[in-house]
Amino acid sequence: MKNLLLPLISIKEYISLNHKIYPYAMILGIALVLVGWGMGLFFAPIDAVQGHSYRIIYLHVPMAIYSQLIYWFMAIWSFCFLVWKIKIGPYMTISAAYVGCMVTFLALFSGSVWGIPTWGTWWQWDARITSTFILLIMYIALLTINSSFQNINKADQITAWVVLVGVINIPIIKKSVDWWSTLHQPASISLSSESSIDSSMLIPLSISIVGVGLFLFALGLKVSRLMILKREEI
Amino acid sequence: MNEFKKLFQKTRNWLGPILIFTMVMIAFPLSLNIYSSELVSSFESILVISLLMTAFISTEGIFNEDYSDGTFEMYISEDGSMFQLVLEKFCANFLMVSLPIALVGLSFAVANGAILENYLSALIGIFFVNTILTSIFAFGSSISLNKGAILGIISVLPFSMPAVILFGRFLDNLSLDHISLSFLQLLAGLSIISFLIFAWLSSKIIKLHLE
Repeated sequence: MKNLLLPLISIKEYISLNHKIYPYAMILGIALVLVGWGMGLFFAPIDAVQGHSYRIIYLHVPMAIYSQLIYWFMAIWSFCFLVWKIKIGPYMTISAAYVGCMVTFLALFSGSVWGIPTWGTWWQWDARITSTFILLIMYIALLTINSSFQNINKADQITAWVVLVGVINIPIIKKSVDWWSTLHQPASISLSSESSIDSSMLIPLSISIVGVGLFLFALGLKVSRLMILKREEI
Repeated sequence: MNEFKKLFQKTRNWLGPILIFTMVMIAFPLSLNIYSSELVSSFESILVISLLMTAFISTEGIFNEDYSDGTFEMYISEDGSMFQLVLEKFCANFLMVSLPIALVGLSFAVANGAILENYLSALIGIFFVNTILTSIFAFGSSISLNKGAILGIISVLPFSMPAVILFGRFLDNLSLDHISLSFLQLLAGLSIISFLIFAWLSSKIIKLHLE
């Protein structure tokens, strides 16, 4: 147990573990993304209503899912940092914020591209889109706060508190499509109920979600390692 | 009581936000057409934006003076409770700024025909939402001590989203005369919770700045 927890406490142990995991996560992530996107773009059937344009879900859906999941990840690390003073907490939080910022932007961008053929507009002040846009602003704000203080410890602690306060917005973003009557459709896939997507489309989508997750995890590892090397001068 | 006196002596700090709010409320019908039917329909959004703006302006420098003149440091060295001091500041702000703004907001809502009855519910609702917004922006002000107000705004503006949504629902229900006691209780509960949580968080952040 102690060996398992050591990378969470010791920066050197974390760097060593990071070095070992990174190539596997990156290669497996890219391979799964290629398989998922390949199946989705070339083998999945055409949608009866949307035609080929629906295929952007293989990018949009994973990005939208991870834009919110990454925030939960940051909140957990912020909590661990504030309560148990885990040293790698701020590195995980900030590196996740960089990745989250990029992912949320891609979710919004791919949604806009998808909106043009399906809704006839690239932007609507719809509850889900607006709340996701606010999430993007939150990521940018967190990165701004963290870079605003010369005292790194102070910056990390303030950022952690703000991350925890910001958790209040995540359920609102998640539930926005259920609480309001919106242009954005409700979730088509769910862990608790049966999916409304046909399996021929769902399988490549699931592979894409896992692949993108691994790729983002690898990206987070890389960013956190660079941050640690820069700050700690190891 | 001490914080109340301090705020009262600095007229600009409490009268400024009220005057700005009043000016926006006056400018709003002038920018449309005084007889326009849009007055009622767009009043809700103007009220929300004005409340957001004045909540920010009233809390922009709420901690700055005490931070720069060493009052906070002295208070901590005397083993005073920072949480209590921040609570006092918040209370003074609510009585001197939030309550008058709620009254001004109500009078303009009535004048524009946005609220025809349930005056008391409207007043209570505006006050509680203003309390939530002020607490959030005061937290932002504690983050941006000596760093400029912009950092505070961008840090906490996204957190005002739930309060804005709730206020929108409140005004919708008010216009349909569907305001229930439980809705007001919900607003009251949330404002008390946010008041205490953000006061506590602000005191934590100020302590961090002093370390």
